[in-house]
Amino acid sequence: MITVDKLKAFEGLNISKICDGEYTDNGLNHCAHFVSHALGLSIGFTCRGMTGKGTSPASIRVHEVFARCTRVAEWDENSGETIGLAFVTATGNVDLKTKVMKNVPKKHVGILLAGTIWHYSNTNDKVVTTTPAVFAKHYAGKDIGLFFGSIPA
Amino acid sequence: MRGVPRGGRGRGRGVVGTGWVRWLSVLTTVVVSGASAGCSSKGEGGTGREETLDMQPAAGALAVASVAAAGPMDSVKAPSEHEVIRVLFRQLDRPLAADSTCAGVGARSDDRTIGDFLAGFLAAQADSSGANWVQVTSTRVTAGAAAWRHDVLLRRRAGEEEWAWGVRFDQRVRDRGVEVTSMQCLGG
Repeated sequence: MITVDKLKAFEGLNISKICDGEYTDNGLNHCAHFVSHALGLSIGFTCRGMTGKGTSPASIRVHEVFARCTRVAEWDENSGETIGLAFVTATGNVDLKTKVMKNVPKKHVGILLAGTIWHYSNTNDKVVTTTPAVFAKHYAGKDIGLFFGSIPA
Repeated sequence: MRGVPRGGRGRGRGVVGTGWVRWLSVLTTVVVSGASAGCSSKGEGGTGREETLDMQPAAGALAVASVAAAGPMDSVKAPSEHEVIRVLFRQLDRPLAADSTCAGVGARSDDRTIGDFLAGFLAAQADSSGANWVQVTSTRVTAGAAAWRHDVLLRRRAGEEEWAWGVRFDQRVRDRGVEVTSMQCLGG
């Protein structure tokens, strides 16, 4: 079970301190990678699939994690959800009925807990925390939307 | 490391900087090679290596052309980025459904082949902001038949948008052919 204390322990860490599979190039997208190490998700293609190394293979693809959420929905500040995943991408990339997210370049994921979202900043190369309102503006554009997903079992 | 990307981080041998220019250059080379269909032609770089064009029947009575380079590869020195990408270009019709790592990797819902998948991310590189490049890595396969394992990754870095998507495949040393079952989709 993920806790605020566990997530706080990740704050400020570079992916090289989180993944022992050597999938740690700072030029790569580590958002799903961080989320999956933090939550122990090993869905679809993993960091070990990329490098052949590591003791805890973690998912690295946002759309594969999205597809395995037991429930997905548009973000609703008043939903009462306190724990889950937060996805941000263009709304046209997401089909909530089929739980399919297209594998487009601009998509991002973080962990919602206690009103805050922890995610991996690819610009800063470390885990950061932010509000849902700021997270929703992760990419510029009027078509960008925020989505909720329950944590895959 | 920031700024101009160096794909050569770690084991990779990067094609640096304006990757799309490099892609166009390679594409041009392949088209030129294809134009010599039906003939044999000398390989590039003055190696004297001959290439032949095989016409293979395919479903729907269509013919698929593939250029198969004759002769074994160097088992010590990795092939050039040019050769690796040229070999990859011959695999573009392979279905994504052939390997679980390729399921759903297309940027469009109707993507069906390796070519479709790569086209989606190449199209994203048409955005001239940030940095786009191609990373080619070749490592010797030590188990089984002698082969080179190639990773070809399309990469982009533009603010929070950072990614690498591409393919991995094994190329046999003895005849330069691609192991059919080795094709995987990489990236995240």
